[in-house]
Amino acid sequence: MENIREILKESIFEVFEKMFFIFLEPGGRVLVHDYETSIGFDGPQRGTLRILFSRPVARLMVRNMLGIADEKEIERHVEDCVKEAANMVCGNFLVNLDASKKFAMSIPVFSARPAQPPAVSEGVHAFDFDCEAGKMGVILEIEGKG
Amino acid sequence: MAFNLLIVDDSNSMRTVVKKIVGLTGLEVSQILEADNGRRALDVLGGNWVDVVILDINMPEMNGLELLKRMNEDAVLKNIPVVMMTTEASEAHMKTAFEMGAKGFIRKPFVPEELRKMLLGVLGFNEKGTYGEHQGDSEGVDF
Repeated sequence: MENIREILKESIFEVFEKMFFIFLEPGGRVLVHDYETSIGFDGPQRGTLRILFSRPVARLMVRNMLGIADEKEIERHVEDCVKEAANMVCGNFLVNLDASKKFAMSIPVFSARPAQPPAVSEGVHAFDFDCEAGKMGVILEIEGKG
Repeated sequence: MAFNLLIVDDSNSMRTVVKKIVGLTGLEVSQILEADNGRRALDVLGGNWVDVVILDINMPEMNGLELLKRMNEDAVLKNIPVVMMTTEASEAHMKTAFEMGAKGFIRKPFVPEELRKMLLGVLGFNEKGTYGEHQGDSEGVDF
């Protein structure tokens, strides 16, 4: 289980640093977020990865990824940008988990004002991060042998 | 010599990033075409001259592997080099993609230099961006 957490954390850091130029640090838990993007995966193990963002973090991602400054233009790209973040984090996590195995990933789903994240229990891994623009969280629900 | 590039990815943000990166490679690009799934890519390929395709796997309607299969079944399209650009970069996915005719594989997220090297390699450019033997690292995988 510790292995899964470490692999996921590395995947999150890699994607956010390389693609969005955002450097995350462990942070305190927030129960309400502005946006959520989730993606499912199936294969030797199955589950769902959810990334929860505050609005300022999502906007910073767009600004950094696309290099745009216009506020309306940034808002137009938020959904697409955070969905791509989930796609990249999940893909990297699965490759780092076991590159020899084939997983199928779903198309990411976006929602504004998402429901509260599930309570942490067996098979649920939750991370909370701080960055220059605010807070975000990542929740992995995974079934199968870890 | 300039070339035409088709970027196939359902993420508009990702297509924008790739276009920017291509602009930074220093390579002379005549036209950058875009499609947000495999079906639309087939339409673009049917109506335009394309020298290289950068292709995502995980897309709605027609995914990247289905498009690769369709291209491989076509006498003209199967000659166009395809670089898979995806997060689904397991050995199994790569093996499947190379068997289906992909010429390269680049894993998201990537830095501009990785894409530059990949494009140089599949297009047969050298490091100066002119035709000749490619001197950079090959990102292709032998199976």
